[in-house]
Amino acid sequence: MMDFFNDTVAGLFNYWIVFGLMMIGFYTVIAHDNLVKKLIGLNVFQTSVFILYISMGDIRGATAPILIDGQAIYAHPLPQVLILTAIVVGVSTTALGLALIVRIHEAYGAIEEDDVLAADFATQDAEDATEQARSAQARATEPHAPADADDGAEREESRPS
Amino acid sequence: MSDWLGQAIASPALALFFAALLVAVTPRLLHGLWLVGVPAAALALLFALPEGMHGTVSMFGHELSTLRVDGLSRLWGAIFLLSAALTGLYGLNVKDRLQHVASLLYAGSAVGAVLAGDLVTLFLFWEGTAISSVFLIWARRTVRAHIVGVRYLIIQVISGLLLMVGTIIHQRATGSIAFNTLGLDSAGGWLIFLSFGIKAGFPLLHNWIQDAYPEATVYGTVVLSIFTTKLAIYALARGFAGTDLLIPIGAVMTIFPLIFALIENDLRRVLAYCLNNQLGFMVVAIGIGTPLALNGAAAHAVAHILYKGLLFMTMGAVLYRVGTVKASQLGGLYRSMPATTVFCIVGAMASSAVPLFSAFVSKSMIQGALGYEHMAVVWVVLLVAAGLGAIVPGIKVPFFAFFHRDRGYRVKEAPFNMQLAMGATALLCIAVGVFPGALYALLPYEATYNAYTLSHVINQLQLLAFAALAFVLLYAARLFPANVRGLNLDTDWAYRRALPALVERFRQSSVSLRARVMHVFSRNGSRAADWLASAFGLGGAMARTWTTGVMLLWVIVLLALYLVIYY
Amino acid sequence: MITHFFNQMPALVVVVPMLAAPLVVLAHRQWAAWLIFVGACWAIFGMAFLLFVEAKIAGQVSYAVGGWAPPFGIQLVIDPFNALVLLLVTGVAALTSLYARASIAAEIVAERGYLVYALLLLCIAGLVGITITGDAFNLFVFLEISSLSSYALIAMGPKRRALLSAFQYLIMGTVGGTFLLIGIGLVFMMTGTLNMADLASRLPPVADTHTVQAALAFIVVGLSLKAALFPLHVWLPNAYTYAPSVVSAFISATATKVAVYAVFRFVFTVFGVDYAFGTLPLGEVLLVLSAIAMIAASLAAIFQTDVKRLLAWSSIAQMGYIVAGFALATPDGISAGLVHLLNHGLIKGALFMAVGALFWRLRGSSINDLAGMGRAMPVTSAAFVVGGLSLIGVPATAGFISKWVLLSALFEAHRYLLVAMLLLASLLSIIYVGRVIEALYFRARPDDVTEHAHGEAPLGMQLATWALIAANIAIGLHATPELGAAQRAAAGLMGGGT
Repeated sequence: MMDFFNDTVAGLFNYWIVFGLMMIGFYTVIAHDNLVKKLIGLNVFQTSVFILYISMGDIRGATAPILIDGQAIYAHPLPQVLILTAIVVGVSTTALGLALIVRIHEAYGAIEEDDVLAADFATQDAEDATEQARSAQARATEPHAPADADDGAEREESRPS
Repeated sequence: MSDWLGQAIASPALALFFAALLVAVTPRLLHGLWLVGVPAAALALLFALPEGMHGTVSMFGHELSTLRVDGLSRLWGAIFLLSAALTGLYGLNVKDRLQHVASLLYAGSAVGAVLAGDLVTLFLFWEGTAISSVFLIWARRTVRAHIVGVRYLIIQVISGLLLMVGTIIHQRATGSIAFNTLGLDSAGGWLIFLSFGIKAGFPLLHNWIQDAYPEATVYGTVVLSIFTTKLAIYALARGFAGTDLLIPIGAVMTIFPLIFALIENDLRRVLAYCLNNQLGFMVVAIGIGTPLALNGAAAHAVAHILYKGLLFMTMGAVLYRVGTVKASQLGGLYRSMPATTVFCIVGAMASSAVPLFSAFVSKSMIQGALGYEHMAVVWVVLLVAAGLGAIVPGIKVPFFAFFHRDRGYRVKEAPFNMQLAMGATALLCIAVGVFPGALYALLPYEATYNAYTLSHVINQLQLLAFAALAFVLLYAARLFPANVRGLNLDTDWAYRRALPALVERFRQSSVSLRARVMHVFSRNGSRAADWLASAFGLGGAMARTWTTGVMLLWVIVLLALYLVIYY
Repeated sequence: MITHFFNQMPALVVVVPMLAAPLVVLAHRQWAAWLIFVGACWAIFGMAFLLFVEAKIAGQVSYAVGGWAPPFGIQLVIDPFNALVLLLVTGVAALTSLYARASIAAEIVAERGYLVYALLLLCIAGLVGITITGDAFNLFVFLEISSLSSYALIAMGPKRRALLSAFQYLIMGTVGGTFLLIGIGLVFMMTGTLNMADLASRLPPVADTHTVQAALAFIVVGLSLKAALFPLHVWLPNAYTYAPSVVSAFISATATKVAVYAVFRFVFTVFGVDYAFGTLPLGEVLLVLSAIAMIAASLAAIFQTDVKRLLAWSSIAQMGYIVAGFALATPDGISAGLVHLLNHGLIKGALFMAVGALFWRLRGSSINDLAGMGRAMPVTSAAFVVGGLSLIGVPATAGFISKWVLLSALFEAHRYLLVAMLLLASLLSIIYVGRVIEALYFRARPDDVTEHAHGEAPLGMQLATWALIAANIAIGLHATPELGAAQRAAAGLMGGGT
């Protein structure tokens, strides 16, 4: 029992944190309507991955990978370098996302996804209705156009004048 | 010097494609040259080609032979090119460039398919006929024509896909793509058979003929009536000659379209049904598979193209001048369109196999072949069909269109070029009947036959006399079936009424199912259900934008799926 | 000097567009920005062609970035597989550059025009990078470069709905990218290397662990998101519909294709065919999903009223074709998938360009807007018809070649149900293409149309559209070179190893 605790719970505690953060982030993205909160969730989600990388490069008792006299053991530097790049990517994503949210707020006056989608659906429904009306009108101007479906109902051509 | 004749470049099909290009880019003044002259020149080219397999082309890993010239393909190619020239003349007054381009591409594809020496080439041109011909329907530019055209195209493409799949299977099974006798021994053979059957209008696969042909333009219907179905007959003769199954199929084909033709109101649709019935004669002949029978099928195809084309031309002229070809609205046109009336009667007599007209010399070969093979039942069926056929297109079409009750139409005679084309076709119908030797000399197989024996002539005249008598009696007793207004749905009910209803039912149930699922999963169940309710008026369940949350749920689902499967 | 240039070409293909992007921003003026854009695009297209030839002769071109030897430094690899994808991306980019000027001038506010060029260049650099990199983490970085620029590009669309589309795409894309990052992290954890070839040799000993299995799942799901594989496709229709025309044309022809390439680069080269398709049932899952994609997305396309949206749905269906080919994991299947990947890029690029040209004239892209344009814009409409026929798979077009090789491969693998699905989907495609063609040619222009809605699109747009159409027809008539190249690529992949 103690072994299990030591190996799985305490021994892997960094991974538990990673997965905890990952789930929190993911849940936030899914569950929150507010676009800013979604973005924050996304950040938490990404951060968890950063921790995953950095913790895998760590060695017990090691120092930072800086050349210091007398210190032989240091952490694997590559994951940290990689994550530096990933952090840059994350920051750019956040910046772009926030910029989009500002634009969305300007255009819609809302930053709740439901409200924005509702506005979109209203526009789309109006457009669809217009298109349907136009299609119907185009059909109406055609000679002996079928009403709805071409099910073979009676259609007698009108006698030419 | 004549090396180039063995190359793919010497294909008459390419000549027609080139003509189509010329029509597309040159001024209208020159169109007559391309529409009539090029097919005529291509005809000369066809006869200049030496017999054998030529025109080898390499395409995506296959060696294709695009020019196979032998008795069978030459005869079919010749009649296709001849009729392309005649229809070109008929359509000269049509201002719509699109129709001319489409008809030349269509004719070219049909000729190319007939000359194809392998299944892949056949398939390429087979698809070509489907795609190019649909424009002749769409060119009527009505919503209805569009819907019918899409339906037509889908059926044609299904036939093409079956041919393609069949070819792939056939090639895997035999290692060869040569287009010779295929037989029904393998899955590939069956698929190809089905593909040919769709285009040949086998019973239950036939609806597209009656559906589409009457909806095309004046010019388009004439062109359509010539190529697709006869191409299928050629393909059957090439691949499935002597397949016994064809005899019952053909026998059914000869009878049952006529029943619909009896009650149909739209005269072009009447002709479409009769076209289907005549195809039955050819299918039976191919099923017999003896040289005489195959010669009969070939001869009947030639005769049939001519007289059916002529009948469609005359109805086209009526439609062009009067604006309708409904039997219930026509009558008494012989006063204003006397020439067209004469041509229609010639076509009707040719189709009824009156002695000295074309079908007499061809249909009797098929009956003769049946007699030699002692197939009494089929022989009787075909005789009945011939009798009925004499009543329906033979008497009904000219009678209702040109005589019957005068409806007071005082229209102009058909345009000159139409009259010219109809006249030439009518002359050919008579010439074939009077001088059958010329046609017989072109037939692909060795078999001597003489249509003009005393007994045969007398038999046929008796049959026709009875048919005429039956019509007169029925009509006088007011028992002749009334022309039913509107469309007669036969088996196409399945996809024109039942299938759309089913699809609609399925769509609605899937929408409500999704709504319920969403209701369970979504955090704001009621709100989600609300917008779902308002969202699915149009577009359907799939097409609406999802919230990011729902999209991500799917990501999780998929990831979980992978992980579960892997562990 | 010349040899030096040749040696540096793999790096230059990425570096040129990447450096051209800030140059464009500095140049600022519309025409100057455009000239730099055109120059960069055609330069990398030329280099891509040379690389393609080099890869064909040598079998593989390898380049060590910064002079660091491969397992440690970043390696760029051009082999027969990605040489074809590279050619597609740069070729479409080059044609887009011709197309862009008029289209951007019409759809984007003048003072922002240069930004579109800069973003397009970044996107191109990212896509090219994904294609040729031989390093797993580097692939993630390039993926994010191309994604970030495409979010911004889509947000530049004229309607406000472009904004939410871009935001949703951003969320989905970032999640996909992060999944990829997790997957790469997991394999790195097990092997300690990021070089793909090195990974391929070090993975087998540890392949039977949950970590590696999870890594494969994360990578496939993450990249499937970018590839819009059903059911992860939902971001795509909006993104393509509301983006500016030139962006739709470029992204539809390249972005999803490159993502599919990346999926199968990982699956085949890094994890290996036997592992992914033998030990784990990846093929079955992908085949089922692609079959659903073909049918469901084609059905959705039929109901659309907007042509761009219709084409976007059709893209999702066509991604099903491509993935189905690859997922067979047979030489025939892979080469069929690759052939369709290329052909579909050409087809969709051409169709979106044609619609963009119509949009340029009409300021609308609904099917009703297009009524009667066959007469008003005959050249563009004809291009749409040929492209549409190619999409259906009519003989003598590239689409037919795809359909033929896909069907052959499916038969080879005895997947008859998929054959039926594919045939059904191609019948459905007739309906939706037919709807557009009907509107173009067989309907009259509405009476209330103002007279300005006549006349052809500018020469550059027509030229680019027709160049893609010509490529379609050329492949349709003479497919042997493409098929040969695809078969070489498939043989290389099945052999394992870059």
